[in-house]
Amino acid sequence: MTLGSILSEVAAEEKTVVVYSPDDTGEDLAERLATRNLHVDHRKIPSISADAFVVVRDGSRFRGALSLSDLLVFLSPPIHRPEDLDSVDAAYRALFELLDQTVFVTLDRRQLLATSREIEDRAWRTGRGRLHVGFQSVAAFEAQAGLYRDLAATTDVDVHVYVPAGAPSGYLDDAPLTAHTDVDEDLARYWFILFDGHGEAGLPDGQTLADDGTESAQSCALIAEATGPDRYRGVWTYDPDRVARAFEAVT
Amino acid sequence: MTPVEDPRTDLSLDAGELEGAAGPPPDDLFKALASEKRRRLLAILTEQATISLDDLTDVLVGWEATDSGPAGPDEWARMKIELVHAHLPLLADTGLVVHDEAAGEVRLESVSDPIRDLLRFATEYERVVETGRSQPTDS
Repeated sequence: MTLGSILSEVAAEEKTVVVYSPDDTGEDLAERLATRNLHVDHRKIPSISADAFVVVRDGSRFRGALSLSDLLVFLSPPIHRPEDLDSVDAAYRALFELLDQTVFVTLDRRQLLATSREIEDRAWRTGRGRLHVGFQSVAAFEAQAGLYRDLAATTDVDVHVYVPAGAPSGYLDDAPLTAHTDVDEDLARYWFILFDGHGEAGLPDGQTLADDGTESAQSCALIAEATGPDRYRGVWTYDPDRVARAFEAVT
Repeated sequence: MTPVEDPRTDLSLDAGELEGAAGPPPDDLFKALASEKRRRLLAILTEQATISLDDLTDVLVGWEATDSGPAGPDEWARMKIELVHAHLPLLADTGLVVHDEAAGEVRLESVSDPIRDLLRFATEYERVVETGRSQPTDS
């Protein structure tokens, strides 16, 4: 399992979004969804309802339905997710699940940074678990290194930083984190930030990861690769299994 | 904006148009219309004469999601069961809808013009009450 194979695997799971609206509402949605791994269809509904809605299907399976306005909120990065998924309605959980595994193809650096911030915030709030982060450039590493130093010094989060070739040495020598300096070429292609809220070490005695339903709700990952100047393709995911596999791919 | 005919004028009933006993008994007819889901279902079928049961379920679940928030597969399964066991049999008994279970399709029964006008009126009435607009959104 590599980060590249995780990206390909997610890209293969295309979903269909059918937009139902009484008028032309949502016609521009295809453009907005072009950044995601979603195929868009349009259908008319009788105009009793003023509100457009969308139905998401995964092959022949119904995955979820929501109003168009709700969908647009969820599609805007950075990603917003309720803190405690157990407390939210089952339908909202389903919605997150269905929008989780979508690949974006045209995010820019600003949007990726916003999403990275969301994941880092979660690590701060959770205060434990594992955070592994890799950079595609020395400049990005230099800009962010201080933040990860603080995170490692202030919380119990086990921070691993994958230092890109050419970065000044000794940058993180005195920080309580693990700096990997021999990053192989395959890994160096990706901008990644992986977090889980537990880590085996963080669990109470006698509890295994399999028992742990709540903390795995904190699992999230962003994996992206540059496709051009300020253009990236990649995935963010909250799927605990997929996040676990991403950890395996980098460690 | 295009002027829309006042829907009330469509409802004048010439007894001849009913062609004898072509209409369901009034209690049955108005019971069919006395449910939001069935009115929505009939509104869908007056615009699209035939629809697969799965698509129909999609539309009704999505429509409901505009009022009550996102819906998942559980809501979908419940809606389909409700359609198959309650609403479609009732509408079939009333002679308004045919549920072809073998083909997985639902279609509007060929109803007389006054009945069709009544279904249109019900749609129009609901639109006015629900949205405060007397005609579809112009865009």
